[in-house]
Amino acid sequence: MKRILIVEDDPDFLLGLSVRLRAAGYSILVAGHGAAAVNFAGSKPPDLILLDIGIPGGNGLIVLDLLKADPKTASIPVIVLTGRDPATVKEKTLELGAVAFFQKPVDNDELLKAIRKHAGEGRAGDKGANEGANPSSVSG
Amino acid sequence: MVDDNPPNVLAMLAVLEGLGQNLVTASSGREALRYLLEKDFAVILLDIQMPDMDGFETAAMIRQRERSLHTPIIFLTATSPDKKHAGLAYATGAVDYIFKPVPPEILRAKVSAFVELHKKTEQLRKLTESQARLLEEATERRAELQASEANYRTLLETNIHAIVLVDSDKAVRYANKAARKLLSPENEKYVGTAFDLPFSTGETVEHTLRRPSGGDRILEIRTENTTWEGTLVHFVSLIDITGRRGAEEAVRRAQEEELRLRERFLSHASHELRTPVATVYQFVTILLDGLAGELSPSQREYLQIVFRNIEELMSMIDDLMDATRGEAEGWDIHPEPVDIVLAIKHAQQRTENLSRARHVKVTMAGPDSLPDVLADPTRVRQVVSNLIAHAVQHTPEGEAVQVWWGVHAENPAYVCVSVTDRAESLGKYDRLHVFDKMHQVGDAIDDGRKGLGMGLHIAKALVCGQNGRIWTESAAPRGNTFSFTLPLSSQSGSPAAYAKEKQGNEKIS
Repeated sequence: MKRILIVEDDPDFLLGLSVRLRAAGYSILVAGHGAAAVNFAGSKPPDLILLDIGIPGGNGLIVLDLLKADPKTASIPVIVLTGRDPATVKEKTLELGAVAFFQKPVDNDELLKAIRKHAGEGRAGDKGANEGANPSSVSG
Repeated sequence: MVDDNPPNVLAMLAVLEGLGQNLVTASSGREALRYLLEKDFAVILLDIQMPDMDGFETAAMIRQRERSLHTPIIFLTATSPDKKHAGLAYATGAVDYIFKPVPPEILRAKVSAFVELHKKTEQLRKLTESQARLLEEATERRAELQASEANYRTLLETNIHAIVLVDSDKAVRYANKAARKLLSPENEKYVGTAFDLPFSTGETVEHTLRRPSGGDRILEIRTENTTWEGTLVHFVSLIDITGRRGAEEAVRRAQEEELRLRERFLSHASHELRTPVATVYQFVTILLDGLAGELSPSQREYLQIVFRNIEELMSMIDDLMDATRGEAEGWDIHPEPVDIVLAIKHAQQRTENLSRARHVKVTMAGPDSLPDVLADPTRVRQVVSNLIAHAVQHTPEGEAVQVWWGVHAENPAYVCVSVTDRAESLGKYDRLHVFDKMHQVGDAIDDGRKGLGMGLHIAKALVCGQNGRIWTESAAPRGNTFSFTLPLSSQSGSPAAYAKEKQGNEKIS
């Protein structure tokens, strides 16, 4: 199962996104702040990172920069998902190596399309991910 | 004529009448003196032998008076001249001497000579008088002129602006106090030096004056031609606008600061609004997608209403941020070749929920494919969906909005897209202002929800930002069409070539 690390400080949004991605067949890992994200990604590299720029414990741009600077994490695709104005940060994040940029709220289909493109399908052969999936509680 | 003998007087009268002069007779010296008090005479004919007061005495009296001091006197005498007599006569101021009987021609000739002399003297006197008067006037005028020139110089000298008069050789002819202070603060001799600031007659030149002491001044240099002490000079006024510029700069900085603060607020507001909206959106879609279990039909229906409103809220946040930011720093547009038909279809899909909720049908009409336009795909979608949303919001329930597209009939280098609603025709005022920010047709509060009134404003800004044109036409009593054009991309064949090809096709068919 593909593993996605979500770096997000808003617990409600995090829960909603986790439910959505788990239903699509992904295994979800979460980090509430930048340091945890960098440490975790270094020790157990996920298949993709969803990064919010506006997180506490370090600007998300710095987190992105650190991830790309470390050879152990540099190859992990990072999708930026933020409430910030794209006019001010989109270009910067793509320059730093993010593979895609989305502004909240993002269309579920568009986001899933980008995740599949960079991390592959969630659960091989899982066609009914959206139907009847019973999400377990989000693990920290 | 002074003679005590009337026949003599009559004889002289007869001789002199022909001269046409004013002849006055007196029969005694006393009478003559009386007349002389009242009038000036050209000549006096004075008989010497008279009783009571003789000619000599009379002449002496005449000469004593200022008025007759120089009046010529001709003595008349019957006695033959002796030296004593003659000497006495000349001594009393006679100019001539005639013996009786007086030969008429001689009398006439002599008298007329004196009359002429008197006339000439009179003329000369008048001339002298008028010359004196002229001289006096000229003196007065010169004094006035000097006074006004002094005023002028005072005005120049004390003017708060620096004024320099520069002659045709660019040499300084005059510099007022302010000019000397500005241009020659060391009190050197400034007049006569070469004027080295830029100037142009009839124009205003801006120049920054570098001063060795520091404190550069920004000058506005205005030049007119005028005359000064009889020669043509450039009248150069130097207006110090350093202060004004400083104030302008301060205003500009304040505006920049305000803009920066607004940007920061917007960025913050955007973030703060988007995260909760995104969360609500996520959970509503999770529920609707059945990820949290089956929904009852009414639960589903109510959640769909929540979903639709969340979508509306999202697009309002987008519009608000877009319009405010677009105004502050220009619109973020990245043109590329775009399949316009696909963009229109996407836009229609985006507004499907809205049109379904309002029970308004959206019909689509146009060719399946068109040459690519040069535009930003996201922005084209935004323009079309804003136009459709506006049309749907203003069309009565149960009716249809029409979307149609094609190559622009008037200019084949453009594609034209139109959206027609079934709302009441826009009045003249609304047609003029329908693209204004926050404009609402009619009374928006009584009329139900119509959005923020940003959609058309943004559409216009985006179309213009992509080299297109947007306009509106109305049909009575219902139906307003909003149309816009976008240029064909040169990569889909140059617009000109495409136009030619199209014309060719039309000729064949």
